[in-house]
Amino acid sequence: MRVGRIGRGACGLVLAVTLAGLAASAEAQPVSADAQKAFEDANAHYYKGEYELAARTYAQILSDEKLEDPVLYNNLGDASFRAGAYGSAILYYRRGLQLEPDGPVAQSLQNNLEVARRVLQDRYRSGADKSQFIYAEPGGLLYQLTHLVSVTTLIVLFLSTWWLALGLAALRRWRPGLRGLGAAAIPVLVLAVLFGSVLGGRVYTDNTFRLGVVVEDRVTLREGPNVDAQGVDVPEGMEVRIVDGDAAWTKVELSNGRRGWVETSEVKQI
Amino acid sequence: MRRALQAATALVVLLVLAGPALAEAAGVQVEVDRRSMTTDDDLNVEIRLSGDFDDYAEPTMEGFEVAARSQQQSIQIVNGRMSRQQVLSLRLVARRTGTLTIGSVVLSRGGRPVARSEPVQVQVREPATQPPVSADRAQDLARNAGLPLFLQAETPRTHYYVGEPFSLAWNLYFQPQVQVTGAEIVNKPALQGLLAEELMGPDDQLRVREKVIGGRTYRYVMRSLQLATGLEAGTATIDPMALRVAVGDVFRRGAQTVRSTPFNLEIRPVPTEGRPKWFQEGNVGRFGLSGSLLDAAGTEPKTVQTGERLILDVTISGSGALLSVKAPEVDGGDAFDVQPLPASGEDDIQKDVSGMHGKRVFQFILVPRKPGKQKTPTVHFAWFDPTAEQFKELAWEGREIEVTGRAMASESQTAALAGEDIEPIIEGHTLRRDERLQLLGTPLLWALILLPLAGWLGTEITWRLRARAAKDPAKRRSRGAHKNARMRLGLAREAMKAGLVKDFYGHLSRTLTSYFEERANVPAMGLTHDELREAAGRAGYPADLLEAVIVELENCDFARFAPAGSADAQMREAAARAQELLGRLDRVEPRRLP
Repeated sequence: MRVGRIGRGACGLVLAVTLAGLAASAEAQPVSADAQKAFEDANAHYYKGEYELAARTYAQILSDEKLEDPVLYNNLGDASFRAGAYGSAILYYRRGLQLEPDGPVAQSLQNNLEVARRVLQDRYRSGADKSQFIYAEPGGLLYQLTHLVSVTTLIVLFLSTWWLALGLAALRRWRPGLRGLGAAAIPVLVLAVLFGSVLGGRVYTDNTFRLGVVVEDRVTLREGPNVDAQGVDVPEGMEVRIVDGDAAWTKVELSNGRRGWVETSEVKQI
Repeated sequence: MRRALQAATALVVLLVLAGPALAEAAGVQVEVDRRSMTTDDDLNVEIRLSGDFDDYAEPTMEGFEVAARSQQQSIQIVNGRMSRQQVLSLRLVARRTGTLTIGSVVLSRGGRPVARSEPVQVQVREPATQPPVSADRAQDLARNAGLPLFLQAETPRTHYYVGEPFSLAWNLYFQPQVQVTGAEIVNKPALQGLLAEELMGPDDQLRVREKVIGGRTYRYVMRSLQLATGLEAGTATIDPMALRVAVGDVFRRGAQTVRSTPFNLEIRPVPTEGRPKWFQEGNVGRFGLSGSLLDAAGTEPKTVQTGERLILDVTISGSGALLSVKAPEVDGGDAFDVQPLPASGEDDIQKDVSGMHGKRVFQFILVPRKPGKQKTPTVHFAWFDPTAEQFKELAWEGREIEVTGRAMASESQTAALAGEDIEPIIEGHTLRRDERLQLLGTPLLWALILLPLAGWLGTEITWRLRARAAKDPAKRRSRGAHKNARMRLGLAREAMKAGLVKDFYGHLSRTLTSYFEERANVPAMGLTHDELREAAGRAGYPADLLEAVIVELENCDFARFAPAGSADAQMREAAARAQELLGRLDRVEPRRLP
């Protein structure tokens, strides 16, 4: 009986520590004062019309601090847009949106993305048709199913059902007098396996299905990874699927299924 | 082919109905026409099988490939016994160098071997390599005049420039009396330092043409055509190509390997001096420039509105490095917005024996921004002509047009004027790292998955062990006997350290007696030593071990009741003996008494 109490106490402690770790990981981590100052400086450059300098400063913060901040991406996208680098602007807006920011920031990113796309639609005379800029078939059914909700939601759903199912199964042994615990654990476990599978599918598709954006103005999609291979031009700002590649050449697939090679510096992964 | 050969093979059956002749014994003989050869040569092998046999196994020929085979056969039946004469002819090609072996041919009758040939070894070496000659000499066809058959690598010039595409053709020349029925490429040149692309497909028809060389008429077929480009300045060696040529007709065939003469090509750098302003790297060839300016209606514009789109087509045509030709720079100044368009699909590039030729069409959108009389941008294009060995340039003059309407801003300003502008940057924001759960791929996620699983497994295992123990308490006690005995021995040692002699021997005695009780259900505490010996014996303990235990128990009894004489050393020895006895008792698997 004494051992049982100790065991239950230990489990409780482990659970508390785990939840504390979870909470700590979810808490926003501060950035250095230098990075914050650089951010303010970049904003100042932007207002002075020094868009390229502002974009460089924002990008420097990103690489130095390994930050994933949607506001930083929004401002970097704006500076790129004003500097005429619309492909890069689209890339940064998309990266910002991928971080699932709150309402106003998400709204700003979405609006800016649309404007940048429209500028390029205008440039390439595609009228209202923006399909050539967006990769239309993002990974098929598995991709669609695993991207219905955010990763955070999937993790929370999976872990909560997983803990609940196994907790019920364990409680069945600790409290044999309580009836129905085992039966209750089964549907919860089924849900946990379902959420776990979706989460696994999400990780798989995110790792295998990578989208990129053409960030250069004159890019040729070539039949082979060399400058003499024949090819067609692809517009700046176009979303492509990254299939393969190395430091020099990247194999990409366009929305219409056409595959080819572009120089790695010409396309950036979202 | 095999069937045709077999059909051509004479089959002679002689029936001898009478006669006391005996059937001939089985024999096999393997003959080769050479013992030393190169990978370009053929090896002719003749295998003669004779006598009374009903089956044979062909030899192993590792490293060789059978290029052709034929056989002749005759059968005799003497006194009802079959006797064969068979000749198998093989033409072999060596696929590697070294000592290659043609294994034994085994004849068998009724499944049993009756004759076997000796293995034959053949030395195979690489053909002699020829040093590369100058391109001039290699291109001189007349030096081969008189040869019945030769392979010639041909290219239009003796030197090229970096980036300039040129053709390399390998032509097989043969005199009209030589019947060529096939030509297989056995060795392709590596073409180091060149970017090469084969232009002939496997299904391309070989066209026979004629040429007079040194007063003799030759026929020739192109067997390989490559489009090559020098990647860097220096000397590029065109290695020999090897062709295995099949000659002869259906009834008489042979094969011969021919190689082209290796030669050096000079690849020169595009001069750095005197480059025109508009020259861009990669523009090497002989080109022309043309252009057209059209409005949305497809007509040449005279008067346009600001913001109206005009299409400027620039066509670069000619021969040379068309694929690497860069779009000309078009500077619209402050009067025009200029944007290049993606590929128009009007490019037309051909690659053949004359190299690369055709046209590239570059399209630009011009958007007039300033009203008034304006001149559209002039297009400049410069290139290096490798034949003339000088830079050249052309310009397509812009057109005078009348632009009406209001002055316009640049591309992004146009979007803003249309009411579509990006939102202002976000200020006063405190930078934060990603607020989402950064769990994917972290050890914490695995811990959160595995912890409840481990907890549940632990609970389940504990519960099952307890349930099993509850079913058989006697067995549980038996399993606990050893642990309890160690515990009691520990108490005895503590008593020894405290100098409590009586307690020490009491614990020692209980250690042994309780062990029997817990392990084998022998109630040793209430038994005399004789009864203990008898009961423990029934439980399966060996007599000598029991005797040792009883001696130790008697020692304990004696020491307990006469403790004064017991020294520390004796107690330590007693504890050690008891421990050793427990070890021996543990090794016995007793029956539990009822």
